[in-house]
Amino acid sequence: MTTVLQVEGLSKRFGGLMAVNNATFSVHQGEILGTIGPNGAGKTTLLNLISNMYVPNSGKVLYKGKSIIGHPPNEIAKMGLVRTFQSTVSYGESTVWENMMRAQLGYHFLGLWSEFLMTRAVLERKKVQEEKAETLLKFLGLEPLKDSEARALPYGYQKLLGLAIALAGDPQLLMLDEPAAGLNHDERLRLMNSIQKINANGVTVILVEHDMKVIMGLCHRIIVMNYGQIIAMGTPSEIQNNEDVIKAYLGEDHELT
Amino acid sequence: MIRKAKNYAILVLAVFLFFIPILWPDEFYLNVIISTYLNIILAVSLNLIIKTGKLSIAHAAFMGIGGYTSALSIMRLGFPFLVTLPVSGLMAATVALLVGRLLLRLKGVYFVLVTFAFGEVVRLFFVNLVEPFGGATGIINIPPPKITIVPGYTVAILSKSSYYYLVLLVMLMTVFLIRRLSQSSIGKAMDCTRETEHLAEFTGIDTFQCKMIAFGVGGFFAGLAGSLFAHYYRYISPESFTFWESVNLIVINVVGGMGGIAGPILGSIFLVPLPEFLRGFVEYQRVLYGLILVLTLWFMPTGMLGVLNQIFNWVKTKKAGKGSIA
Amino acid sequence: MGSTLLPQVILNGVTLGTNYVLMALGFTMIFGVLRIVNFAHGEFYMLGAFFVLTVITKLQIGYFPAVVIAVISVGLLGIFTEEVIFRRFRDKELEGMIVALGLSILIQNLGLVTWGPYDLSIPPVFTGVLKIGSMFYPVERLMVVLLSFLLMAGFYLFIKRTKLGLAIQAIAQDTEIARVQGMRINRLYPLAFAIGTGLAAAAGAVIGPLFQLNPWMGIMPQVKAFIVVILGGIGSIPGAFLGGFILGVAESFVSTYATKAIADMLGFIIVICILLFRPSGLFGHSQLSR
Repeated sequence: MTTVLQVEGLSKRFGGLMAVNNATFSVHQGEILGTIGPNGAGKTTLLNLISNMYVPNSGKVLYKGKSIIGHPPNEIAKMGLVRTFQSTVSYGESTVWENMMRAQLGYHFLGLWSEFLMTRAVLERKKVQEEKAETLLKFLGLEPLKDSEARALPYGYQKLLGLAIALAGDPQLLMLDEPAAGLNHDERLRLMNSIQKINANGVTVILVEHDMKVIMGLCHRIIVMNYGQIIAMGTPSEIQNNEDVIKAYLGEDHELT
Repeated sequence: MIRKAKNYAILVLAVFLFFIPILWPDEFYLNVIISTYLNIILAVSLNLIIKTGKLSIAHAAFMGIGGYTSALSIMRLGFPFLVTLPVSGLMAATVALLVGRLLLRLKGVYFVLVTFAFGEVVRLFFVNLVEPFGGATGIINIPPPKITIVPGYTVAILSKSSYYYLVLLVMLMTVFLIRRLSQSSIGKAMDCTRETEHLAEFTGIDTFQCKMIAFGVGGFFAGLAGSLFAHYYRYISPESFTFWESVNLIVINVVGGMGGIAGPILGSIFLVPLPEFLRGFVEYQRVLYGLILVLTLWFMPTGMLGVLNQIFNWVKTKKAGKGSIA
Repeated sequence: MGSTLLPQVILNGVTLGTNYVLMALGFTMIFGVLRIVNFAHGEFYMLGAFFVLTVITKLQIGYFPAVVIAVISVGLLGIFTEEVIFRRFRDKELEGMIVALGLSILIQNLGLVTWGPYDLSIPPVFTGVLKIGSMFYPVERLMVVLLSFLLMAGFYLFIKRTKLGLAIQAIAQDTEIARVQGMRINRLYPLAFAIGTGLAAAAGAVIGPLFQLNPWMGIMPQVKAFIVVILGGIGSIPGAFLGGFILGVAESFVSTYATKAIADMLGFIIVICILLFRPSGLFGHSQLSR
């Protein structure tokens, strides 16, 4: 079992608050790892740390064996580690199709001169990218919506578009930030389906979520966080029966959605 | 289909522009048009920088750098004009890239403020150094450009008409090149950088590089404009490129619309000749100017270009409506 | 020569500083609370001075009442400006800034139309020169400094002791929290803006008799305010105080021992360095988060 991501002793302090405290865990190739915890537990901060939006105060993050701390986001994305955002899912003012073309812009840069002169290589690449856009849209069931403006889409489809954009670079590790937030029942099912399909294609997934149905239904393993620390790690059934976890969720009046 | 028609229309327009000095040889009008062209070069190059989401009020400073470089290269170093013109652009671009490395890290209003400070530093730099920049008085008696077409045959650009053609050529080249850049993947990456920066970053786009390219290229063309400016007015001083000149370029972009390269062109055509034709009401000119800016942001934040696009879309949907079965 | 010059330079610097502090306080309040870069701030300063002149000449009132009327008038104008013009751009920082630029051009040139391009002066209020040791200090200037300190003290008491003032401070610290706690943004924003512009007008009114008045007199004070605010920290009131005096004294020194142009350049270089390396200035909170 290969380790795709290794996090060791990762910590982040904001003023007097330890948002993430000494997090250590590994992510195995091909699994879906869920991260849950009450509000403010540090789940999103952990994600932000791994994807280099925050600089950690201490600790290591190794992606495929190499440290990625301090690497700019676009480099990490090109290495195969892509994350989604909860709030800005897509380029709202562009159509779904344009979004897919834009999503691929960063990955096959042919150099300033070629791009500017629009050489034949550039034109051929365009064809390849168009095919890929088609494939990805079909994969997620978005093909019939391709000429719609992204922000006009129903929320559930916007989230799927966000997934499609994330897949544009053929990532090996996908980190999803609360993808199910705000979705209704049908939309949630469609999302879970899509994530499963993506995982079946060999993509490792880290999922930060509040929605228990999604987590329990999809994840092979789960990490539970509370007050910035990892308090439990295990399979869904192990977690459901874990005393510390139950206390964390029920003890402080938090909702176990 | 529409794109081909558009390109042909632009071509026809470009050709037409070559005939203007023949059709209207009036010195006054030529002066206004030359001034408009210079502003187009500046406004369009600024638009490229704005395309990456960065509002720079230091653009006039780069024009100044180009102008001084050109004047001194010809007067002190004896370079021919055809060399100093690109050198002016390169000098401005070099400064832009060196400075941009630091400044472009700042976001939002902080970037604007730091470009304001930088623009002032450049201006004061030229004010303080009497040798070789002439200090507050600047450099006078800048010679007209002398262009060697073939060895042995040198033409001095003396008349307004001949200067018109020089500026026209540079302006067309500027518009063409920047348009090309905007339409390439680099330009599209710039749009992504402006609209949703972290999404762009996490899909592999090097947003910092986009900003640097825009800033450097923008600076280059500002430098070219500066060179043309210096040899046209035969005089350059720190007063020629103050904060207000930079603000003027921003206003042209805002009023014209920043959505595409046509925006600053429209803005220049509308705003640059305006004071010339309001000669009788000098005091009210600038009141009107400020009013136009406020009203544009209030009622048409997408500028003239945005309004034209809206009209165009409205017409399109009406036509589509007519064709469909209700 | 050296022994009498140094204290004089410092005194000049402090005098300059009081003016800068008043401008900076208003500017930082507007930026800190409303997140508007008020490029028209200098124009309110100009209006303060001109209103005093107009009130004195048209209404035949004395100087001090004229100052009060002028400051209140500009404050009311500030409320109007915030409610009518800037409200639309509440969450659009860049656009709001450009609107402020437009407003600046508008007010400057309306001033030009109204009062003409030639320098005007407010009839002098105080005469005479004070001799402190070996230094000479015009009484006029002393009054400016005293009045300025009075205004600063009044402002400080307002911000720290009154409910309204504390509420405004809270918003400056963190708008989200303030909103969540139900603070009435719609009431507080215009008030904050009015106080900010009122301070600028006060600065102009108080220093008016010392200098010539023209529609462009607000440009330099505006620039100084901007530098002081960056130096002291955006949204920070102690920063405005400290920054204003530091800049005043530093400029006084550099102008005396070098040239004014170099002094100006120094100010901007400091600004650039601060924005790049310590954006929160001396006291401000780091509001440069993503």
